[in-house]
Amino acid sequence: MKNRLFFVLPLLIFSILALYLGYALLQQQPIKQPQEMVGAKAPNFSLPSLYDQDKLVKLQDFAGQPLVVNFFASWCAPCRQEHPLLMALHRRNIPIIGIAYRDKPENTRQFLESLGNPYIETLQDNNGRTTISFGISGIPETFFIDGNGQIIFRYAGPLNDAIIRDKIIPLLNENR
Amino acid sequence: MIAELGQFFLIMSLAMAIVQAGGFLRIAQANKEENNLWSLAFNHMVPWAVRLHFLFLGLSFGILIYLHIITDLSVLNVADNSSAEQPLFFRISGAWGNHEGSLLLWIFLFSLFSFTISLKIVRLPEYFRITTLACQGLIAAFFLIFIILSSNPFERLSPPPFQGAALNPLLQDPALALHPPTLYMGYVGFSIAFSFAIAGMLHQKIDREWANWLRPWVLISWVFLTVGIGAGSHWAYYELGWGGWWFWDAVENASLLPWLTGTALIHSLRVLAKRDGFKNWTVLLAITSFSLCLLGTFLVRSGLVISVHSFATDPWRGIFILVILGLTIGGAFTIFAKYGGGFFNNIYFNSVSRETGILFNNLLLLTAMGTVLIGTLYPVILEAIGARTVAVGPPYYDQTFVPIFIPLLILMAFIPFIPWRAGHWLKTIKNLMPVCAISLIISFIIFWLKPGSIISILTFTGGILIVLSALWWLGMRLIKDFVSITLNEYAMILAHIGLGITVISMAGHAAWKSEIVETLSIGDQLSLGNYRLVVEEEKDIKGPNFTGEKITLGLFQGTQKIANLYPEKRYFPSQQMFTAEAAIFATLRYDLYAAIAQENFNHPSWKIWFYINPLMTWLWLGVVLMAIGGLVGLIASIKHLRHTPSATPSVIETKAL
Repeated sequence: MKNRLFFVLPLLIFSILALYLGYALLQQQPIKQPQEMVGAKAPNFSLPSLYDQDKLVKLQDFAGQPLVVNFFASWCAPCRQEHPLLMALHRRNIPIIGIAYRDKPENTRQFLESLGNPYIETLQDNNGRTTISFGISGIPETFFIDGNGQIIFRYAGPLNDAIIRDKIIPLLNENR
Repeated sequence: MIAELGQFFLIMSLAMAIVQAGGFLRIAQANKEENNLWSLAFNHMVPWAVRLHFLFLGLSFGILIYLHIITDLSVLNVADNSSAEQPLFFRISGAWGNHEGSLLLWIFLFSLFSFTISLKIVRLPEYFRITTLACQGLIAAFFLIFIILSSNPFERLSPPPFQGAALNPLLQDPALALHPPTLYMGYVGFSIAFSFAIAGMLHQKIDREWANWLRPWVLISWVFLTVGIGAGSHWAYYELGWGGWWFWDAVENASLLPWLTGTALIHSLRVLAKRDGFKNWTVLLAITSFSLCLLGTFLVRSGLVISVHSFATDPWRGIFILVILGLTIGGAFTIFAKYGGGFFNNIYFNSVSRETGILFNNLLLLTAMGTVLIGTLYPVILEAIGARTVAVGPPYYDQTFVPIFIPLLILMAFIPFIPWRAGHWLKTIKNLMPVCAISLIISFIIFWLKPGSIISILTFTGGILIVLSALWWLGMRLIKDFVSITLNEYAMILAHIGLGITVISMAGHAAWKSEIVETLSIGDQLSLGNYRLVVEEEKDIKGPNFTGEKITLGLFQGTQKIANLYPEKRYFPSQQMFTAEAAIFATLRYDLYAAIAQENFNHPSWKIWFYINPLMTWLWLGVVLMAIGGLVGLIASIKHLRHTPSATPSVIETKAL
C-alpha cells in the first residue's frame, strides 16, 4: 500500500504532542532563568508615554536611582497573575516602569484602570523593538536596573512572593 | 449518607461502562454468523448496560445537585464551592461550576448520547450499534476511573465548616450557568463521530450509508458547540467589563478548535454522502474533532494554562488525563494507521468542482485550527523547555488566523456555485461577477465614510460577499431555474449567511469601536461621538450574597435623552472579590456600553468606561442564524434517514428471536 505515511502521520503528530504535554506537566517548576544581559548596561530606549503620547521617555530620565522595568501587556494572562505583586511593590514606594509590549493603548489603559496602576511611568512599545533589545522572548519579564543603568537582575515569567522576598527586596535595599 | 449513595451510583455506573466496553468482544463474531447466541446476547446486554449506566450517572449527578441545594457543608465539593446565602439558581449551577462537578456533568451528558444511541429509534445495524457503544463505554470507563480516584465530588470533609466558600462571583451569572452544559453537549456529541469512526473502521463500513447515519450527530453537536461558544463570548462581553467579546484565552481557543474541525467534518461528510469520496479524510476529521474536545478538557483540567476558567489544579490529575488522552486518541490513530487507506474512494472530479472547493475549504479550516492550536500550546511547551511563561495574544492571531480566514470566506462564497464533479471556473466567476462588484462597492463606500484598517476592510468585504452570494444563490435557484430548494440547501444558506453576518460585525467592531474613560461624580458628564453620559444618581444595593452600588446614567444623543443605563459594581465579601455588571443599550447600529472600573470603590466619584461597540447585535444574531442553519440541516438529515430503508439487514436479527 502506498502513502502509508499519511495514515501514520496523525499518530506520530499526536505522540509528539503527548510527549511534550507530559514533559510540560512534569516540569511545572521553572528551572532556568536567562542570565544574558545581567551585568551589562541596559539598552537605551525612547518610547511614548501611555498617558501623554507626545512625550518621549528615555531611560536616562531615571538615572541615579534603582529602577524596576516590567514588560507586560493587557492581553497576557500571566501578567494579570503577577499584577497584585507589582501593586505590592508599588505600595512600598519602589519605582517601577511598565513597558506595554504590542498592546493597544486603550486596552493597556483599561487594564491599569481596572486592576490598578503600579507604574510611575507606563510606556508603549508598539513595534516591539525595545522589548527585543532587552533580549526578551516572552512577557511578562522584569528587569532591575541600578542607578548607573546596569542590569543587576532579570526574571522571566510572572513574579512570585519568594522571588520578591528573597531577591528583589534585598537587591533594592543594597542599591538604595 | 446521601453523598455516599451518590458515590455508590458513580461506581455502579463505572461497572456498567465496563460491561458496555465488553461489546468489543462481539466484533469477532460480526464477520461470521450474525444470529448466533453469542451475538444476540451482546445485542441485548450492551444496550441495557448503557441504559443503566445513564440511569446511575443521572442519579449520581442529581444527588450532587441536591447536596448543593441543601448546602451540605460536610461534603468537600459543596463547602469549597457553594454557600447557603447564594440564590437557589446559583446553588444549582454551582454544582458544575467547579472541577469535580463539571467532570461529572461532562460524563453525564456523554452517557446521554450513548443512551440515545442505545435506543431502537436510532436505526443502526446491531453489529454497528454494539461496537459504537463499546467504544463509548471504554471512554466513559476511563473518565469514571479518573473521577472516582482523583476528582471525587462526594468526598467528605470533617469537621464541616460553618460557612461555604461560595461560587466564584464571576460565575454567578445566568448565562454562565448554562454555558458549560451547552458547550459540553457539543464536546461529548463529537464522541459519537469518534465512536462511529472507530466502529466504521473496525467493520470496514465507511460509505455513504455511514455518512448518513453520522450526519445528525455531527450537526447536533455542532449546533450545541456554536451556541456554547456564542454564550461564552456573550458572557465575557458583558461580565468581564472589558468591552471585548473574544480574548484568545486558551479555554476559548479550546472550544474553537473542535468547532473548526467539526465544520470541516460537516462538509466532508456531505461529499461522502453525495459522492462516495473523501473517506479517509472524513474518518480523520471525525477522530480529530473529538480528540480536540478531549485536549480542551485536558488543558483546562490539568491547569497547564492560566485562564479565567481555571479551577484548582493538581499536576497528578493532569498526568491522569494525559494517560486517558493517550489511550483514547492514540488508540484511535493507531486504528487509523492500520485500517486507514483501506477504503475505496469511488470518486472522480475535476480540478474545478465542488469537491475541490470543499477540499480546499477543509484544508484552510484545518490550517486555521493548526494556528490556534500552536498559539494555545506554544506557551505551555515553551514554559516546559525554557522555563518562560509567555502569553500569545491578539498580535499573533491577527497575523496568522485572520489571513487564513479571509481566503476561506471568499471560497465560501464561490463553492455553492460550482457544480459537483466538473465545473467551469470562468462560468462560476461570471455568475458571481455582479455579487463581487456589489460587495466591493458597498464596502468601499462604507469604509470611505468610516475608515478602517486594510484587514478589517478585507474581512468586512468577505462577510458581505458571503451574505450576498448566499442570497444570490437562493434567488437564482428560485427565479431563474425554478428548482425547489431542499432543506439541506436552506441549512447551508442559513449557516453561511449567519457566518457572513458574524464576520461583518467582527470586522465592523474591530474597525470602528471607540471608548472613553473618565472619573465622574454626580452631575458630571462625559461625551463620545454623538453621545453623552450624565451621572444622575447613586444607589447602594444589597443582594443575597453581595453588596454594591448602582449608578444611574442618563444617556443622551445630542440633546435628547434616549435611555437610562444602570451599571453596577458588586462586592462579594466571602471571596473579597469585585465584579462589574456592565449596562448595555443595544441598537442595531451600536451597543452603547457603560461599566464602572474597579478602583475608587466607596468614593463619591467613579471611574466610568463608556464604549460605542458597533454592530454587536449582529454578532449574536449571526451566531443564532448559524445555529438555526445547523438545526435545519439536522431535521433534513433525520428526515433523510427516516425515508431511506436501511440496506443492512438489522431487522432479520430481531426476527430470529
